[in-house]
Amino acid sequence: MGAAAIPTPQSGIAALVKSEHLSKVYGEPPLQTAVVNDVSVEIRPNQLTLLMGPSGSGKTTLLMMMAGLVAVSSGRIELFGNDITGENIAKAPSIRRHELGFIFQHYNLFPALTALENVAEVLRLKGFAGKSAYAQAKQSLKAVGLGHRLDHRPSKLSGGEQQRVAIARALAGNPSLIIGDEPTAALDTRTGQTITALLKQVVGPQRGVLLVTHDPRLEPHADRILRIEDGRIIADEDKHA
Amino acid sequence: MRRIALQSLLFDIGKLITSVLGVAIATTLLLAQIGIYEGMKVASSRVINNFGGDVWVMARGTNVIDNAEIISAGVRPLVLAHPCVVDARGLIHSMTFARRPDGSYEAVVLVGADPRREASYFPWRLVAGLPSDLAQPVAVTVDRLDAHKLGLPKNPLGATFELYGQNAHVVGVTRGIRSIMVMPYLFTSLDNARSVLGLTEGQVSQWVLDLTHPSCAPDVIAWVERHSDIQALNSKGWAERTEQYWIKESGAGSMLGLTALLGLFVGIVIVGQTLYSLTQQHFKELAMLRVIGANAGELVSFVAWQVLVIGIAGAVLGTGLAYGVGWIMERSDIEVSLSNSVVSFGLVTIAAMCALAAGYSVRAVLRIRGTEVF
Repeated sequence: MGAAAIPTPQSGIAALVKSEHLSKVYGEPPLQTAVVNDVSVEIRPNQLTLLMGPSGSGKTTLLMMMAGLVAVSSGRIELFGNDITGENIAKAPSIRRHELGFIFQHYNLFPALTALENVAEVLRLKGFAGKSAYAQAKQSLKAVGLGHRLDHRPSKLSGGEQQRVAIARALAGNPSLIIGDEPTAALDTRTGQTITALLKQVVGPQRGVLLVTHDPRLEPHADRILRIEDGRIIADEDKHA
Repeated sequence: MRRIALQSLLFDIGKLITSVLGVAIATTLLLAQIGIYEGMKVASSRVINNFGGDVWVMARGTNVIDNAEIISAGVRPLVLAHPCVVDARGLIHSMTFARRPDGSYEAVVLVGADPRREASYFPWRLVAGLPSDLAQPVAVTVDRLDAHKLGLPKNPLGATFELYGQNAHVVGVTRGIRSIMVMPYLFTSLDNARSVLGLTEGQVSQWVLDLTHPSCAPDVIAWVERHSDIQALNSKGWAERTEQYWIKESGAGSMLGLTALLGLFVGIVIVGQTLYSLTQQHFKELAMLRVIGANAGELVSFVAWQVLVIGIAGAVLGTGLAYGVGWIMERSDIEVSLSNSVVSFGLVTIAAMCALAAGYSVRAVLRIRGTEVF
């Protein structure tokens, strides 16, 4: 089985995501809870960035705000240079469709579709024509080492293989930012390491990877670690700075 | 999205079969209920529609064929005096009693007409015997469905029984003619009917008029209406009035209508629950599509494709089952009329039910937030 090259985006971007004084508050006064509190951070290409923190620290909420899935309470977010705060959040789905790839803890593959179809059908949603979508999907799956499992349904794949399909799906369409939510949490140590190494591979000059995790095994692979506690970034460790 | 929706549907065959059966049962239920309602309508005006004619003349105040009073012999020359009237065929339609071999009585509807004039269509659905045999003294036809009610053998041809004190004998057998009141229809000649009911020569309960041209009908009706003891209606109007009586005034129609309405509600619940649970099992994947940027239209098309396939498969199967129910009911007292208009109406209703039920699923799908997969 020969692994094909993982495609990388062509255009150069300084900051993939930029947040300024970002906050997310739930509830009404006096019972308000600030889940994310005054966070200003940039996610850059060419980096595997980890957003780490204990449960309830606000890391998933921050991730969802950065993807335009949750409205901000205050502050500002730019996704690929586009303001997606306030009413502009309506722009987010189109940006997500073309510029973001997602990986989830529980893979979220369609059980009825084969590995190839799971990737190709998402590509079709992104506007690729049928033949081209299937050709690209095949390429993406080969790139993650699943060229020999194209016609297998998720139930016939191991957890690690399912997550590889999810990564191939996230890479399909050549997005600029891959966002992952605890992508190794459901995997054993060895498979987790393989998946992390794979995610490290997809980083490129025009592509970044942002992973939310509380798995310390991922730290050695990271280029940058953002530590969050009680909704605030308490440390920004850039290994190459 | 079509491929995702359809493959997801075919993937879980058990769920697919359950869903199709859910819609099929709702379709059968609905068609059977509407068919019974329609069957009641058809049965109530069956005699009028089979006798045809252009104008019907009856005693004034008669609101339904089943309650028609006897009118005098003098009416016939009166109506024939109108230049438009070609013929006036007498009809006796009256309830009476037959005695079973065990001594008990059974209410029957005696329909008397002149078999020589009506030979081509009276009695209709005759499966054994000849219309001309009805001219024999107290000769009647019995419907195959009603033989057991009269205590007669399964094939009653040649059997005898007591009809309102006279010895009637069966010279013909009809098939599938049911009355609105579930009483056996006995067809006989006018003379025999008069003899059984004790009427005098020329008395009938209605005159069926054939006109030179149907456009004469209003003039003939006006002509008849000048007389205080009789009234006239065109055939269509008389059939409608009879149907309206049974549907609106008797209470039977309201009861069947209510049952049909309940069937509709049950159908909506079955279809709604079936389609919603089908969509619900894909919420996670749909939320994932939402995250990657699928728009509302794409998510709705997922539901729409699944509903379309299940709706069509369920409706086809359900219609087949409804015809099966109708076929079984042909052997009972209940008439299920599955005419083209009934089936079309039922299928349009099922389509609306599917759309309504899908609307609930679509509403749920549109409320899916991408955050649900994190």
